[in-house]
Amino acid sequence: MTKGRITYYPVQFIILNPKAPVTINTVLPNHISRILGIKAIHSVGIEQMSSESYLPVIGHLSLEFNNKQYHFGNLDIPFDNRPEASDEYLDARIDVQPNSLLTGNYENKVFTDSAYVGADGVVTDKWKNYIVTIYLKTLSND
Amino acid sequence: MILGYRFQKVKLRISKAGQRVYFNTETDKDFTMLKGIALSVGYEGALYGSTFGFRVDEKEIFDESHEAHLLVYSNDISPNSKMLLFEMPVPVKSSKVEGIYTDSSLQSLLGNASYNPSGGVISRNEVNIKKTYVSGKEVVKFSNFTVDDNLVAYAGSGSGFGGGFGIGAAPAPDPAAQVYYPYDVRVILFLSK
Repeated sequence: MTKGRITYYPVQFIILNPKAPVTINTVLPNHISRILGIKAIHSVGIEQMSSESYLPVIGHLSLEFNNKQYHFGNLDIPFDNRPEASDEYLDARIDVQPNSLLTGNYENKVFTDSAYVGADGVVTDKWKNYIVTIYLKTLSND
Repeated sequence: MILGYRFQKVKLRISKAGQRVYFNTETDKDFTMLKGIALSVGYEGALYGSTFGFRVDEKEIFDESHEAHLLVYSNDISPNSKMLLFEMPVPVKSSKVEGIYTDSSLQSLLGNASYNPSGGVISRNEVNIKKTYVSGKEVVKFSNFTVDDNLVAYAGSGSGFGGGFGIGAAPAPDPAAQVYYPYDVRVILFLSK
């Protein structure tokens, strides 16, 4: 029988500029021994720029575990504020090394035209920051 | 006769924007497994950006920054489709359970301009504005809860995204996503023998 208990560990990151990729670099807690599932969702912010309740892709996320030794893959991140939005986790079976890094990159794909960011790279008033959260369903041994 | 399962409920009332509501209670002594959890709200518009942390016997199941809408059923969604069922049921025996619901907590992070120019991971210290779990010995009775009035967001002028980090510097909510207060949240624990 597997020892430990399941916990849900969120990693939030903020997107401040539509054209600049975001680097993800954080140490996972020592008590996490295994990743059982992964889900990445938009949390807040996009709704202030769009009246839609669903956008299929707002960005691409690439994730790596165990100090870049394991590449989980590339994920499309949707914006989905509908009640029927999926809350499923992607299956994963990743044994986590103690104190290892969760790394990756996020590239925004929406609101990138000149109305939101000028040629000098400075965002306009129309741009609103938004937050994406990576949820890790983990086996914890604390 | 006692059934083999029970849905134990705790009711919370959110009276104003940014309010944090803490509760603790203990699980029914006749049941030994916590198999799932769900939140039920009468007003779904309040959910986005609100968070719900949860612990059993002082061990964390959800971080305080876990988004509430991932655990919610409402009139549009049947309980079994949104209730989070634990793959490994949590053993309980009159266990202490604690929760903290924070209204609009993630919106308060959008105005932070102190990250890298492009953005990045938000540190745990900023996400969990204040660790609220209490390790006291007293167990408050079922459905009793406390309100932390010191942590009320949107106390500022609502000047948009120019302010630094702080609860009072939260951005003004989008009119399209206007939230009406008060609203009630029910926490439902799925217990079995």
